[in-house]
Amino acid sequence: MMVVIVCTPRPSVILTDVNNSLAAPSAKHLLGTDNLGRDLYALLVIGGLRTLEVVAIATLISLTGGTFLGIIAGLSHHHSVKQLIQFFSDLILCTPSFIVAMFFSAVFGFSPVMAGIVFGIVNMGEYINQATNLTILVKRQDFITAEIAIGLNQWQLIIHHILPNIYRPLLVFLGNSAGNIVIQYAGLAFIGLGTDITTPDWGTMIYQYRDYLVTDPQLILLPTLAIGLLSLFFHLLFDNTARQKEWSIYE
Amino acid sequence: MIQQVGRWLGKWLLIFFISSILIFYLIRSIPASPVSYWLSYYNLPHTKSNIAWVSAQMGLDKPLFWQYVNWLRDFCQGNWGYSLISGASIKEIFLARLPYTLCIGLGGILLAAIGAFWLGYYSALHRHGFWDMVSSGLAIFSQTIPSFIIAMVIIYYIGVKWHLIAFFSGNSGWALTFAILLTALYSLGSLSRVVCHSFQGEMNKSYIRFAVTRGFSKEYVLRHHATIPVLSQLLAALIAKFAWVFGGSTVLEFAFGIPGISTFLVESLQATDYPVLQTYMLIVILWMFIVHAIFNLVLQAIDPRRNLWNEK
Amino acid sequence: MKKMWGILLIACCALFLAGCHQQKDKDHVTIGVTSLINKIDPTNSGDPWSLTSDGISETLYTQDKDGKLVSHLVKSLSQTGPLTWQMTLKSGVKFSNGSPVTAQVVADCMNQIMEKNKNARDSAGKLTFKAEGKDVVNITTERETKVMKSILAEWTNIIYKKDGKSYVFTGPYYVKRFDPGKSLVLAPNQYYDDNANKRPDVTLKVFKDTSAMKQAFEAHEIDMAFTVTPAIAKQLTKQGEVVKQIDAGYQYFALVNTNKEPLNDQNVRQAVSLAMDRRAMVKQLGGGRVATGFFAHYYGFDSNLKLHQDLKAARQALAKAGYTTKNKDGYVTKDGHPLELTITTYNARPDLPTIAQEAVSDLKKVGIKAHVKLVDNIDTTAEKRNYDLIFYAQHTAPTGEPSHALSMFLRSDSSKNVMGYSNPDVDAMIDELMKTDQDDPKRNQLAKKIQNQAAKDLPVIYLVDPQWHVAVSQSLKDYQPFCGDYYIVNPSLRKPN
Repeated sequence: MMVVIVCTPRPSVILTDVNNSLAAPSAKHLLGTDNLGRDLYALLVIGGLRTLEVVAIATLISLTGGTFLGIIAGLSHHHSVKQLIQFFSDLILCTPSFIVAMFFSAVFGFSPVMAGIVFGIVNMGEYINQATNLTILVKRQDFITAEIAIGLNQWQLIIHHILPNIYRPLLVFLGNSAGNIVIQYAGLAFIGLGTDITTPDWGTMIYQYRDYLVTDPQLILLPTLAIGLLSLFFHLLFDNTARQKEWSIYE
Repeated sequence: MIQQVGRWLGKWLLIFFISSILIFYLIRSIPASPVSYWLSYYNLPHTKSNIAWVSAQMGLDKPLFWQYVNWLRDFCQGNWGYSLISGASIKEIFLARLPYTLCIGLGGILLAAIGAFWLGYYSALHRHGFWDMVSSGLAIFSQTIPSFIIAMVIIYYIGVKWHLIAFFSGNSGWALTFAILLTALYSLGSLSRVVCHSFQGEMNKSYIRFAVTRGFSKEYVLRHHATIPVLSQLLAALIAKFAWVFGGSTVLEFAFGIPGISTFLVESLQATDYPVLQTYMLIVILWMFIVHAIFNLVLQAIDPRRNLWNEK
Repeated sequence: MKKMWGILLIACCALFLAGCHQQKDKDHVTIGVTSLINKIDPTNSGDPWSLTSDGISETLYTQDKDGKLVSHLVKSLSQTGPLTWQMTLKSGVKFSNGSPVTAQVVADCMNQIMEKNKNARDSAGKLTFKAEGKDVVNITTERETKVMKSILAEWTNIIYKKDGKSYVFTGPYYVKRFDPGKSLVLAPNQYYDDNANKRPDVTLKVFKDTSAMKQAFEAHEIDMAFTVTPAIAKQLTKQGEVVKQIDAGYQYFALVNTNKEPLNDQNVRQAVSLAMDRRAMVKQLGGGRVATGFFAHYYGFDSNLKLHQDLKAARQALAKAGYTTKNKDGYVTKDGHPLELTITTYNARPDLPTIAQEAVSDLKKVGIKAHVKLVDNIDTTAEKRNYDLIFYAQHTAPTGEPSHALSMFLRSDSSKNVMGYSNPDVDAMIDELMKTDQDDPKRNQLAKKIQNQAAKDLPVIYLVDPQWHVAVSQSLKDYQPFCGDYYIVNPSLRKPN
């Protein structure tokens, strides 16, 4: 589905067309045009790609960085290493990601890469904590203790036992945080610090088209829908619905 | 215990220092300089002597280390400096604007916490029942629809179309009320899920199951025995929400045009008003410290078995 | 649980009812504007202009509705030598605190302005004022001029007096309350004339976002929106609101950084100018006309250039500048580097971002990659001279006279020449223009010649001669703004009946 959307030919999002502003959907413009005559479909797709870029960069950073540091903290025998990682995660956990992202976009210009890196680093704290706790749980299991006694080395332990056991809960968390990043990025673009108004982001579009909320509501509805669907998609993608528990006595 | 509290305080002091150094260097690395801004503002030529004079006035000619020390000392003494843009005292601006932001954040989250406790409780009682659906629905809603859209719709219908409320003139009471309600609505979903899961977790524990099989109603058992662990989980979830007060209220303040501290941040960022930005970041850290301290005290009080000063 | 929700519901209802009982003050006019001063400092660059526009201060001469220069302060003005003038003040004129406007006060404040505000020294150099007796002020100029009235009408030259920590002025209104950059509450100045009681109190309120301003207007929270974008004007007109179209007098043009790659190459500047589809810009704005020079079309001294898009010529100019190859995205390159430009502009004139977006589209058609950057304080950005193109708006003839704007922007090293432009011929022509009598037809010829030379050298690219839209409530439907936004709050404001 995504591949189809990305590969569909679409007009440039930069070219304006005064004589064709606010046009209805047609073969040339699948979803019609905006107030400047730009193709709405193309704007939405580019906005979506930019959002996906942010999500990809951010989750990659927090997942790999967070898991790595978390496993180290969970396995390390040195108290100081544990403390250091714990301190780092505490520090970034109390950093408001949105403010930091606003700060960077105002100073260094707004871009998906920048937003992705900021969200990625600041969200790492949760991953570190989860990975640490999960690693400790795995390590405490009897058979692991036994295998370590036989001479299992650290890498084998991580690859064969820890990673397979901790990736599932981390992915659920990833689904949630990816969905939140979609919303946060939209909010960032809506406020619009340092944005280039000619590059479309869903949040920027909603801000730019706010005058048309009543007269041409599709301009607002479409990006809103896109934000909602993408974020919902991430939430459902990794959602662990099979959280089966014993309910017999209550029902 | 006292030793642990001491270590906890030490950790925060360290956080404060490390962040202040990061903030200081980050802001100093901004490509635009306040000196040139000041000169342009007063329409003075960028001559060498002018630049040297203004730098000296701003204390920017000293080594970076001393600039940092002076800044921190001034901050601790309550001397937060002056805005480059309006020349007004930053402390006065902050004191005038902080109430709005805190009102939105604290009001919204406290309202959400109260609502979430009851919503979570009722959804835990009847799985897939009405309240469970409401709670899940709200959680999904708040994670998929950006709050600024709802704000735009509210302003349009209530303010513009029906003329019920003046959002743009007069005091910001109404905008504030709606911002608080929206904040509450957006936190209610996820918090009620926390409560619900936490109640369900307790329901699976043997002491509750035992009491229920003995014939007590589950409502009675839950309310009398499971409240404390659930509350402490809810409070733990609230800490994360409070981190959000400063950043998260930005979008709503911006959409409603509330003169809070976050809109001021946006303006200061646009104008790269360095003293304001530096102070703002430190205030955020102080705020986080206070929140953590208060929550630890409260949690300790309701659940003495937990020892939070020694986190994990 | 139910009880709690009940209480909440009741509380909400009560609040709603309380909200519905808001009464609107009939004698109070609220005006939404796009920008406002941050502090009241009569010698600080653009601030005196704001003070006059808001009805607080007055320049020695002001333009009236018919474009004539009149004065509330000066009785007569005459030239006594090539560099000397004599001005006689009207007697009995007072500041808003009742203290008299004497020759000494006028001389002191004008000398201070000449010292502190470099924008004041652009026309005839630094003027020196000397009081003689109670009513007479002698003026000495650095350069010869024939248009002293116009110079005294320049926005920098306002009359003020320090009153304790604050300032007092002579305009029809005085400041009652001031929230820097946010709002300004004004009350009629009792010492201005006999009509003070007929004037309403005025609140000026800033809306950085025209959409919010439109909503506030629709919600009847403001009586006037100064100004709204054409798109909003169209929507409001459709809803039956009163929207006035005014010839702004302002011109939209691009400042070009002639000292920085790649626009230091005249061919590239030429290509940019030729690529601009000014007709599309006018259409996007829903009004106005293609610029024919540096001034509004109704001035006799506006040039009559025919500027139109010529993509073929633009591409040729780019080829001449060495941009002969194209990269895979279709952008022209020179030595492997694509041609990229940043257009910097600002939100306080909401039309500018719109035409900047059109410009990006036009430039793409000739293979130039362009970005738009919005900044808050455009003049600071310009001052740093690190930009490529700035889309700018300025009233180029607020005194009904061309030499001021030409001198301010195009003379080498003058205050608004942030383009780094220097052409000795132009400097000489500006000097000559200043020396030419106000009624001499040679003036208009000279002004046109300067504009045409600038169109060749391209330190500025003329874009649009716009029309503005001001939405007013029924009670203000007789209000007629003039001279752009130079006199938003003017003495003709009357209490709504």
